[in-house]
Amino acid sequence: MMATTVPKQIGARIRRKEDPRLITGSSTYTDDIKLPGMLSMVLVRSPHAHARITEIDVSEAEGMDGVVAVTTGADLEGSVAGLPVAHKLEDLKEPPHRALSIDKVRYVGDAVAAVVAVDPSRARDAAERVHVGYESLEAVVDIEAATEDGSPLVHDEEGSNIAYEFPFLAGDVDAALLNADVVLRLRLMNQRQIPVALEPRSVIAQFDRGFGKMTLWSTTQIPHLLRTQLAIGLGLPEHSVRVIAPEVGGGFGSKLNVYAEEFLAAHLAKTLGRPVKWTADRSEGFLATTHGRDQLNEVEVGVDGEGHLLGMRVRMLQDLGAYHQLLTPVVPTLTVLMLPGCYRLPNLEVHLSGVFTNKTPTDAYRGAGRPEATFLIERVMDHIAAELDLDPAEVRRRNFIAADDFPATTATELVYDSGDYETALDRLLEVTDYAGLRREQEERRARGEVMGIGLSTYVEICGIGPSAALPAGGWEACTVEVRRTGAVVVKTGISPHGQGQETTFAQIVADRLGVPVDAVEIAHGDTDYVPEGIGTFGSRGLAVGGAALSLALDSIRAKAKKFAAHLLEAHEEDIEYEGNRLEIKGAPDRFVALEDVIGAAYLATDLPEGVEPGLAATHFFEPPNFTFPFGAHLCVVDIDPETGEPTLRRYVGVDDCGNVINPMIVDGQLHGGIAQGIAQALFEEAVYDRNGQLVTGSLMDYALPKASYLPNYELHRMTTPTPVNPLGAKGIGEAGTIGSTPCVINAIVDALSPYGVRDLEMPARPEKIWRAMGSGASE
Amino acid sequence: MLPAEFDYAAPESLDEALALLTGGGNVRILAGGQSLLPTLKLRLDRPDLVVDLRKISELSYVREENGEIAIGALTTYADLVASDLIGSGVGRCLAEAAASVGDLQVRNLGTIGGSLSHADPAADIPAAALALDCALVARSEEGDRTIAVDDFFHGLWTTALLPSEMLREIRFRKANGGGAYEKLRQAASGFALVGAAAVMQMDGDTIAGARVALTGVASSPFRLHALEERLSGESFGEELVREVCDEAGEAIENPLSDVHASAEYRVAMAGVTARRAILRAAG
Repeated sequence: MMATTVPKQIGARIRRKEDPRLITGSSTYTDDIKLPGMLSMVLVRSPHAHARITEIDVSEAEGMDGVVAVTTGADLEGSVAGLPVAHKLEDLKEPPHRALSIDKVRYVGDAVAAVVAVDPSRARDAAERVHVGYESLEAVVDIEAATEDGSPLVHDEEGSNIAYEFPFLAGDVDAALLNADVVLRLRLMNQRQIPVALEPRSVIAQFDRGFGKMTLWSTTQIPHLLRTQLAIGLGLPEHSVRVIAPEVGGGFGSKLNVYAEEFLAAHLAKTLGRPVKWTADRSEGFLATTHGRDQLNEVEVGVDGEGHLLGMRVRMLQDLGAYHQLLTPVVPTLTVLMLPGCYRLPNLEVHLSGVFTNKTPTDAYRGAGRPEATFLIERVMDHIAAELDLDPAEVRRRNFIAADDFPATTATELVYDSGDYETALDRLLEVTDYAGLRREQEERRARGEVMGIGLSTYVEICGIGPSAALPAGGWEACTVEVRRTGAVVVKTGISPHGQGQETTFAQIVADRLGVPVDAVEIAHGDTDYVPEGIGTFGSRGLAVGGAALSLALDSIRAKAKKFAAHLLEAHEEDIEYEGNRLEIKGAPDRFVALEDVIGAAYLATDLPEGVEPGLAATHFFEPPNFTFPFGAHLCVVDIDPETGEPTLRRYVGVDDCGNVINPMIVDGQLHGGIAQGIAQALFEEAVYDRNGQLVTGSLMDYALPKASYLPNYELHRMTTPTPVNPLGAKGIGEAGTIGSTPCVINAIVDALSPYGVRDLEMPARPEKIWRAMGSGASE
Repeated sequence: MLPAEFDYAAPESLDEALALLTGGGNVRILAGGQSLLPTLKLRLDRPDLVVDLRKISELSYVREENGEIAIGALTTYADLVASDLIGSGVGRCLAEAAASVGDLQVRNLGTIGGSLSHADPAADIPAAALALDCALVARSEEGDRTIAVDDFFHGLWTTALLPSEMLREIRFRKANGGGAYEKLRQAASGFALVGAAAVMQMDGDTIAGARVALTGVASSPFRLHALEERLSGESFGEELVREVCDEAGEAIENPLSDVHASAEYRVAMAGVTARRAILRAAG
């Protein structure tokens, strides 16, 4: 057999294997699937933010042509459990979250009835004929008002809108603030955002009465967790539930959940004996898919005369919305953990309160708690610079955790794995000619132009994560099967929905086993085909899922060496496996190719002693720690002094996510992430009126960034591998989002500093900037 | 996003289409569908009949006739942008307005007649039509009726068109001069937070005529008559334009205020965009 040399794939900028089918419309999304006899489900949703349900009259709807069933919350009692929340918080109030509300509705979009009909139009028509009587109640909209005595209660039986308190103390903040030369006070709001995945949520449930088997197709990031929760929620054995995540068109955390529609479709498919499909329309997505952020922070921070952080106290209010979804109360605890950022912060006190309001539940949204932390500490850095008249780069430099301090333990007891924050900042200042930019700014200001330069140095927590830190396991599983024809099938427990792991995992396999990238198939998102896994979120796909793959490949390589040694009549430890060649060390003409090993493994006519037939391995990887990617971003903004319109002229990043498998995919993740972070800074905002109506409930009013609004990104990379996993890779899915929001706001505030501006609330819309420059009447 | 049930017709000719308009019930005309389809899908409108004009190809044209530019009502924004006949001179305000609409997909489908008939208070095309002093030719079974653009817009989504009529053609004089359209975009929709269209006719340094219209600021697009009068006959100068535009906001009655911008900001930006449009139109 001929042995061939395959070019190194790890580190190569190869195009994504998944793209041809995606961009030619040849892939299958949940809503594309049509099953024989399939019915359509449409939900009747509350138009009120807060109201008591006085009656639900389904008789007219039930009698309509094509209507098969109309179900209300009362019909589900005893057969469908409430929706789950996963947490390890003490004393968390867990009011029931029913798939269909029975007593009150608690946000606009809260579901009260499900209509099932032979097609979606008829279901929609009938849904309009379900008559729900509401007794309107005062809505709880403002998060601070929600915490006050006498506020209306979202959940009457809980006696308070505060779902939990999460206090944290390290060191002595009182003393630190007392001894500080300067104490700064900031009030920072991370506005509510609405994740808008290209593909709306969709679910199909099919129940096989013969086998008692439930199959659920869903737009989910977590098919395995959903499988377990669906089994619990419907009282089925877990092995009788199969969850399939077909092609999923983006999630950004909004599909990292267990939703009412999944329980409802499954229950109705079981009771009606026909498959049931539900697909959100875009308006419904705005109301009834989890929102993100909505966190208010009041900060007191003490520094010495040189700008060194001495201590910080944060009062944090997190708007949970009306109910807990899967991770609702957990997300802001990540903010608490990451408050120190890249800096030495000896004394930290945080008091987090999670607060119910009559709004859509919040949950993970790209970054999930860390953008809030980075925004806070990076705004603090710029405030210190402004107060002490120091350059913002210098303030950061004075506070950085030093490169030789790693692994570094923070005040929040995290152990940062590896890093070199100062070098990242130095590289950034060098590639942007920071001194030159500051000179240019001076010249432009002299000409009456408004130009700002923003910095942000971030570290984030990902590769989530050690199981001890999570409510439901933080490991990942992977099976590698080397097939008889030389193809390699990888069954991974992660569930990519845009992240490109079909390519990056194939690159790893190609290098480790010596097969072409095209000979590798990455299977995912079907709990019967890939029986174990956790899912894709928290930038964990490569750092945890890839690590499990790496362990499985180690086993395959070891077993292949055993076969090669047997075939070559040599010792196993003398075999070198390079490319697809397994040769005897020092005797390169004595070798076998991988295909010879495959033949021996499956024909099994002459097995090495003690070796089983076949060439496949399954491994679970339990990460010993999180990973902590980091970087430094800079942007340049020009502001039209007459209109307040900001234009991002440059955006430069130096990012370090450890070892990189495919630089093009890393760039792509950064591009998308930075765009989303810029969007929080400049465009996106979920606005509710005082009655709890979502005013920005469509793409006509909720401003997603368009390509033309965004600059070209200049991306530079550093590589500081992590010791946490065998790949040395950290994760890059969220880093761009985390680093960019404060970078842009810092640039805008810098631009406006000649006008005495120290802060500007997000999103920095032109009118706000215009007012900050002193135009218009003060509000 | 599924509309309520409606009847649908796709007539082969304009006459057939006009006959359907008078058949009774709530009839909606589907041209490019960029406003109508979302309205139907959100069930904000529940017509009995939708008359789709897709088969009526004779209403898509831009041509010069007797010193006028004539534009078929079904001409798309993209076709307006591509037309040499309106890309320069006074017509440039229309080309720029069309180029600023939505995105490429919208511009490939949306039509000039649809935009004018829909009369969205923040649409771009109506401001350009006002600045160009367009004659709007409406057709019914009775024949043509020409409506001056100044008489066309009656308020939010309301025009001078009768239920039996549809726009057939839009005409404007091919005068000497220049046109421009300036707009601050509402970031989500791309519609005008404030849009200003200007047509300036110059006689040497003297302003022979000025027509300036705003959109996005009030319930209908409207002309800045006082500003036009103050400019007419004056010798052109940036200072004059600035002074006149700084006061332009005073003429705005009931300015819009919403989640995207306050009335105060819209009024202030009306002056800025008007000035920028005038300076470019005259330049």
